[in-house]
Amino acid sequence: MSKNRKHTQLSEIWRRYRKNKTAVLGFVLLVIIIGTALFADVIVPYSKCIEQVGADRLQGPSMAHFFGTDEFGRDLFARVVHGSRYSLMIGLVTSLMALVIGAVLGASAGYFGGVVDNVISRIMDVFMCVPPILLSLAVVAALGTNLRNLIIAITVSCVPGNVRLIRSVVLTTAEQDYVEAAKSYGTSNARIIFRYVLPNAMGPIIVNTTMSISDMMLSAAGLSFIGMGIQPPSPEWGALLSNAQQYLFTAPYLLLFPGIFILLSSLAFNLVGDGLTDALDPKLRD
Amino acid sequence: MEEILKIEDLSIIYKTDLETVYAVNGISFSLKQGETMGLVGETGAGKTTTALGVLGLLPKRTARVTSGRILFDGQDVCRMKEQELERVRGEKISMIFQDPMTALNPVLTVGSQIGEALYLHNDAELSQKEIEQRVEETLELVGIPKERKNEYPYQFSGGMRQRVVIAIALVCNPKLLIADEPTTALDVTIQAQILTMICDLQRKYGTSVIMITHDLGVVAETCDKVGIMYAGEIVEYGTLADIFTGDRHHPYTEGLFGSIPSLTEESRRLHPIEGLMPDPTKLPEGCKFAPRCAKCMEICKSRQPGVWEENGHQIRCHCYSNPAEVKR
Repeated sequence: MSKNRKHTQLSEIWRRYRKNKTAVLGFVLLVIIIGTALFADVIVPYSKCIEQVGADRLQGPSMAHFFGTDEFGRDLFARVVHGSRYSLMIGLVTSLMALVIGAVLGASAGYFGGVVDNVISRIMDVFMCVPPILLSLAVVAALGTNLRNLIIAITVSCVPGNVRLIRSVVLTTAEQDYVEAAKSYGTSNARIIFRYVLPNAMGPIIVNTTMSISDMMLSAAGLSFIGMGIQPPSPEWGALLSNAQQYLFTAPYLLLFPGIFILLSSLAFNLVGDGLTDALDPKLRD
Repeated sequence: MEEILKIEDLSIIYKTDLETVYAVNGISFSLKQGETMGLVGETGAGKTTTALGVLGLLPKRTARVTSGRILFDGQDVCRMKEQELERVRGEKISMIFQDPMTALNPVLTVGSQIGEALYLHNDAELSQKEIEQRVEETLELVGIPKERKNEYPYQFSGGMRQRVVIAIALVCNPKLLIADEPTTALDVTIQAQILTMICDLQRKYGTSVIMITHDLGVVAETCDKVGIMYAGEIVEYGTLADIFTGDRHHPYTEGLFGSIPSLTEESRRLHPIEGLMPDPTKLPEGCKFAPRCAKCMEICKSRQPGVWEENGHQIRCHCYSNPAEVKR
């Protein structure tokens, strides 16, 4: 019975989601991109990414190399396919971390108010004064360039926005009668936050997180582009673009393919986020 | 019988930077086990503030208890630590909220919300299965088929939701139940059902009830004692008989009864009480009811009335109080 209910709720959301054609397009794109990342090794072996063939330098797209080859004769298709792993991983991991940190800080600020709220909010204000990309740059510069530090840097730049958003939705949810009721039967604050406040504030939070995945991917690509992110020879999409800029006029496809993939995946996450906004809004239940 | 709740000279204010609201001004009453006490009064008379005070749920940022004690089972609720309060709330004192449409968490099934208080106050170390069973029993008790425990609040109608809210309040067998206008949001047919149910359950378990309402009909049906509140004071306090049939009343009580259409007497117009409640930030100096009172005398405007008492029937009015007794 219980399972059954849960199931119908999910299928209800899916039914509403399906009505939005562009959201479905985004979902399909997303499945393809995640599939590519998951089955990268099946599609094309990783060795192809780093294998340098002197005779094949800067070849245009052909049947042998779908997306052409780069200045070292590496197969661009293989590099783009395997690059999806880095980009997606960074996008998902940073968004998730920023979500968890943002939820804890934002919910405490919104729920407890007073001094707690002031301390958390003012610190976040300070972070928000610095443009996110600069903030990430500063963190990477301080910690050194590698994948872990890149993830930390991007998370840090994303947390303040999350805290603000979650604080504001928690503020309105915490005013609800059922929160007061929960207090009246002796529920502890932590339990109220995680069972009563956050689940009811989840809609906007989920939407914001899906949207932010694409932002995170873009900042990772941006940081890699200026050499502060993933280091060669790892095939991250931003790093691929960064390499390609020297060959902008002689081999534009080097720029084109990774660019298209960045664009498509970020588009996919945005469309899914948009679709979820409508599907999760209980007021639009019909 | 044992006294469950004793409130002595309780005053509560809400203080913000801009103004101070005198919500409750020196009220006292006590409640024995199994008794029902009705708190009647207009919106803003301080009924809900009193209830929240008993639960220790007053908003911390603004509310202050400036004097008095709330003794529950001999312990002062105002001096309890938050953790002690969490143990009392839900287990020993529970509350039925006014609006069933908003008092339930929309993302949890009704079963898990009823089980919540049991789970939190699990002193008897019930297993998950026993909790489930208690939840089912409680649901049946309030007249909801137990098969519906896995449904969500939005799948219930208003009356059914109020039953769920009552089930939540009753599941731990509390000693004291505070019902804050439990029937205001319901239509009349459901009102009667819900009231009968509360009364039945109360008789069955010997629970004491504070019934907060502005409906004298509800009071007549359910209460043993009645406190009429006005501007944060209990202006008249007595047994149901004292209030409904006694021959001495506070002018405000008379006004309240005058505002109800009578079935037996022929009258062309109702007699509402003229004017509005005083602004709780600027209460009048003398009797709080003086500006609206038909029997207002000179002394009413300058001195607070003392309490006239006869066999437990108390009235706070200059009309009755012996001038020698006028102290406060």
